[in-house]
Amino acid sequence: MKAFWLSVLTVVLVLVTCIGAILLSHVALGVGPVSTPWPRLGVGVVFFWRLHRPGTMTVPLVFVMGLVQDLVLGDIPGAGALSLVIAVLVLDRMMPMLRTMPLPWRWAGFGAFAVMVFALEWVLTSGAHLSFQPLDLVLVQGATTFLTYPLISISMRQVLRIGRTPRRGFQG
Amino acid sequence: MDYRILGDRIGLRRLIGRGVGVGVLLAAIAVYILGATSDPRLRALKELVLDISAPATGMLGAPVRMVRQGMDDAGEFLDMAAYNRQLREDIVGLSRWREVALRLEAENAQLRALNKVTLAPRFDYITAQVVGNSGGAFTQSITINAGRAQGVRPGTVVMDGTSAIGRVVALGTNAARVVLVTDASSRIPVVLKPGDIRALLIGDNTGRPKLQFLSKPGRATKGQRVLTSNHGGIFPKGLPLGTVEAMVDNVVHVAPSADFGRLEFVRLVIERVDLTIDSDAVLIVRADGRVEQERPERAVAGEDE
Repeated sequence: MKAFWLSVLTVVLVLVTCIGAILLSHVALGVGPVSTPWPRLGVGVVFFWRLHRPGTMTVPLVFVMGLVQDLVLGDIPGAGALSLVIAVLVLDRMMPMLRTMPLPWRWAGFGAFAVMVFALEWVLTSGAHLSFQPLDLVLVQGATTFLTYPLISISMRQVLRIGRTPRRGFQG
Repeated sequence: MDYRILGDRIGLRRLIGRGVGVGVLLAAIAVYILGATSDPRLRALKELVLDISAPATGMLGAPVRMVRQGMDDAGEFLDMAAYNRQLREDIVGLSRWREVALRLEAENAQLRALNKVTLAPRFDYITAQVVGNSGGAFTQSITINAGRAQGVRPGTVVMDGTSAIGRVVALGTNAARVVLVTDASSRIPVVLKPGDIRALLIGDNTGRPKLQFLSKPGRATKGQRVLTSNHGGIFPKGLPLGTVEAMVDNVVHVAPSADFGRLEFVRLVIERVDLTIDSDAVLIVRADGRVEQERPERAVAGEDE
């Protein structure tokens, strides 16, 4: 019975942290020009949970989180979701190796994940607008997102300790 | 139990996992196609997410706003004496201009009354707070805390203090998404003054939208004002958008008048019904600038009998 409630707690924590991160990326900070790209914290949190709780952050949940991010941030619905799903499917093989490695390696793994997500979203957004979107902003936003990963990892580690959320089997 | 796919033997669990992955991928592609073609079937979902996320984002942003307000207050406190002196000078100047404006409006109204003019729509404004911005490389939009319940409609024009900054594209009950003039999907018919050059202001997700399809190519010059032209009927005529900034590789770029970095409150332009004036009517221009129409009493006794 305790295991069941811990599983429920894990799912709730994963959902709350993902949605919280997406909403934080959307807060109107009111500093700097609007075109200043803020980090996409949701991408980092999705990667973190996919790495450490793959049984909870499944591919369908990745899609749902991507869609929520698109709708909250006002992007083309499906562009972010499709980018996240493809990146997760393509880079899934490196996850079991990364899981046991120290933070710098996981950070590098997130770098590869972020590059793929932003590149795909740039392609999909350009395709939807039928014109190439400015690449410099994408690079800046990708870089800021990459730089925030250690913060995300350290803070999510604290969340992992809440109730000792159980590790569930990798389901692919 | 193992299955053979493309020569590989894989277990049932892995097979289901692959099937789910492919299914999700196809679903994501379908949603992307619907999103890219602005399919109306996604509208209800957008409205739902907007209504839920806007209050949550507003709450999350409250501490940030408090800190920023504190910093602004501290800065203003230090400059208070100079600021007050400047304000007093501005008030004197503006009072003089207000008198001039009221006199001109009254004169204008009388001239229109002589000509049976149908007035252009007049506008009311409501003020809303910015609770979220896309802050992204892929879109330039903000979320505000006013929606259908406050009289906002799709296409409602949004201004900062004096210049147009965008229009409402998605609407919830108490929230709306505003796509900014700098967004890649923004297309606004404009006119350059002086010179009366018509053009299309096209956003490209940078802070400097560009002008295309100029009616007099090569005649745009730095410093010309860029105003809305009302072609297309969404933006009212004459709202300032910015100034011509520079020409790079034969592309004219515009510097927006609005300070997008300091968008905290915005004004939404709510259209009022037309007011037709016939020759018998007298327009009364109130002190607050409202125009009312009044039919005078018949002067000749017995005329109504």
